[in-house]
Amino acid sequence: MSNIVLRLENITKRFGDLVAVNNVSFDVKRGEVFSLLGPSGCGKTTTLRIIAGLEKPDSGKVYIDGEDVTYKSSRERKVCLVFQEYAVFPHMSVYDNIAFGLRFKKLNKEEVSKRVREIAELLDLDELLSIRASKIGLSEQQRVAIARCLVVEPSILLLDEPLTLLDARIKERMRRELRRLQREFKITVIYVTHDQLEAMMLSDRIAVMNKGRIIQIGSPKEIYEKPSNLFVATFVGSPTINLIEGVLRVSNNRLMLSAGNGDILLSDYIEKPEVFREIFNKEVIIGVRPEDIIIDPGGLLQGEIRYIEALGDRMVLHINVFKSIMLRVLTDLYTRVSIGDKIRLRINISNLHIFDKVSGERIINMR
Amino acid sequence: MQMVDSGVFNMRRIIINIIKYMVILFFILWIAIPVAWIISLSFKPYGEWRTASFIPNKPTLDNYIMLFSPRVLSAFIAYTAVIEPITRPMINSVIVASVATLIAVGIGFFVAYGASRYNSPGPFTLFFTLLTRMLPPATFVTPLVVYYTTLSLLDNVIGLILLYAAASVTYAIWIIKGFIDSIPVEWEEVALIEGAKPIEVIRRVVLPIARPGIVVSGLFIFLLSWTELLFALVLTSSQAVTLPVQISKYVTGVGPLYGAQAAAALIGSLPPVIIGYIIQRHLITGFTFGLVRT
Repeated sequence: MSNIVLRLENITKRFGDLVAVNNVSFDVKRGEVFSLLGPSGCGKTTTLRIIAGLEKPDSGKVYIDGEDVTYKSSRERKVCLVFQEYAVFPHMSVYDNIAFGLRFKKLNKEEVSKRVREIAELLDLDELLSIRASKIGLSEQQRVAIARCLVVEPSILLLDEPLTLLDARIKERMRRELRRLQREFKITVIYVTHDQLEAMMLSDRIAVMNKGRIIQIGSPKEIYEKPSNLFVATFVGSPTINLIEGVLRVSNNRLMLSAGNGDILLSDYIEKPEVFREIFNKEVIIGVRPEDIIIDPGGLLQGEIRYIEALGDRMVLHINVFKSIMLRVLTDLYTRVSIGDKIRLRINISNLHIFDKVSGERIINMR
Repeated sequence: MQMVDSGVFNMRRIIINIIKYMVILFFILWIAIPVAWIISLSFKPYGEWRTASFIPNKPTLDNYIMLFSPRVLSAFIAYTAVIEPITRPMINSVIVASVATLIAVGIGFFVAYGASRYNSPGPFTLFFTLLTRMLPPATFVTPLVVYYTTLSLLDNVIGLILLYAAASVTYAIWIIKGFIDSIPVEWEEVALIEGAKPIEVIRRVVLPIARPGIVVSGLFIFLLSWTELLFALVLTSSQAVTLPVQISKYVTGVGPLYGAQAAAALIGSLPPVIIGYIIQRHLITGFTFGLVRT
């Protein structure tokens, strides 16, 4: 058996004039958690539905376990989908819900009962088996939906925004639970979400989607550290990355950004000025993550705190530098600052992201 | 001060309750008195049919016996009418109403499913299934007689079954569609993914949830077909006569046979009451709806 469980080849799907999925291709390896991450309407759910066989692509191919399943119905594919709203059948007991898929598999009653009970125990549902599914809570419904999927032993488990409906505390628990189950079953998971934090924490790899296209595929670390364009840079990361437009210049190993109203000295010493040669005099947008700006009395930038946003354990300072540029700076809660303070800042140049102003593409890697 | 206030409030509530119960009582009497009168009339001997007393002086089962063997009692009634026993019309009515109901609900379910799940043929077309109910029924009588003559469906239970099913299928469509609309498509999709064939999806997911709608529309259509008089009167003569038509036939040269009519009406109202009693569990969900969304 090959290591590739799922392969999408040039999948395109239109709904009328809208191109919901545009020439999407990717491979998913056995046992990996692969996330489709993007804003609502980016085509991630449609992609998932195409994998599940609920939508037929207009063009392109879907392979599961090496077999072309593009024109096969859902029940002929070894996939299972947990919907955002779980779709637990309210007119059946929890037991009947979990056993639903096994009824079509020509198993005897004892075998069905054995498998249902095994799964139920793993998911902590064994005490709910006889209860009507309309009587149980949301997080239990979710576990029932997952159990109903796992019991039929699919090659791929598809999860469509499974945590969106849960409140924060349960969300965290379910996130750990999902990870544990995935490891225990060594099952391949395709996870659709609009929440970048969730994708970052759960995935082995992430495909960032926008407007029906895949923008970047990579590990959470790659996506975060080397966003391939402005969209990925702004979509991933919270608080959002700082963007400053201008033209980069290097003179005497000093890195400067000529913005609309003057030059900003970003760094007074860079080791390899030749890296920047190709973008001299080019309009760029530089991206600096809020954690890459550090409060430092010896820093080159000076700014005034305009607004402080508390995130619980951390703070986001909104700092006005250089007349009209507002920077978001992430600090810990114990930094003693107040609105109106004038402070000096240093930018961590090695984590600078530089994008072409016209195309939005990433131009150079600093590291 | 507060005490006085709540006292006034209680007073007002009591008065509102009194009015409420009086209104309810009024409607109960409005419905119950005619029924009670028919019950009483059905046990009255011929001589008392036109008396105003509620309780029969000499209660008798003559009226009921007359329904099943009319000739036995013909001597007792002043004028002998040639009347058929009620047995055949009863059997006809049971067949016509139940088969028409099954057809209407069966077709209605699948039309409702299609209309709910697929946009075509669009809400406009679905609305026009109500067309059969938008004109006064009398409009259809003449053309139907013409068609039915050509098709040899006059005085034929099949003719009535087809007519009743066609005229009432729209109720089944609309009532059942409401239930199917409330079933999220995801439930069906999950079933498909879990390995169910489309027909199994309908059997295991859609049918159980639409069941109250099916039962309610079935009862409704059964009642309509059971009590229909106009078309049955025109389209039948002897073989396919239904119960309501038969009741209208208990008329003699000296006037209607009130006692026999009352007895027949009571017998005729038993099946709907029994069916309603059996399915009342479904009726409650059927009328109140709302069970489905979780």
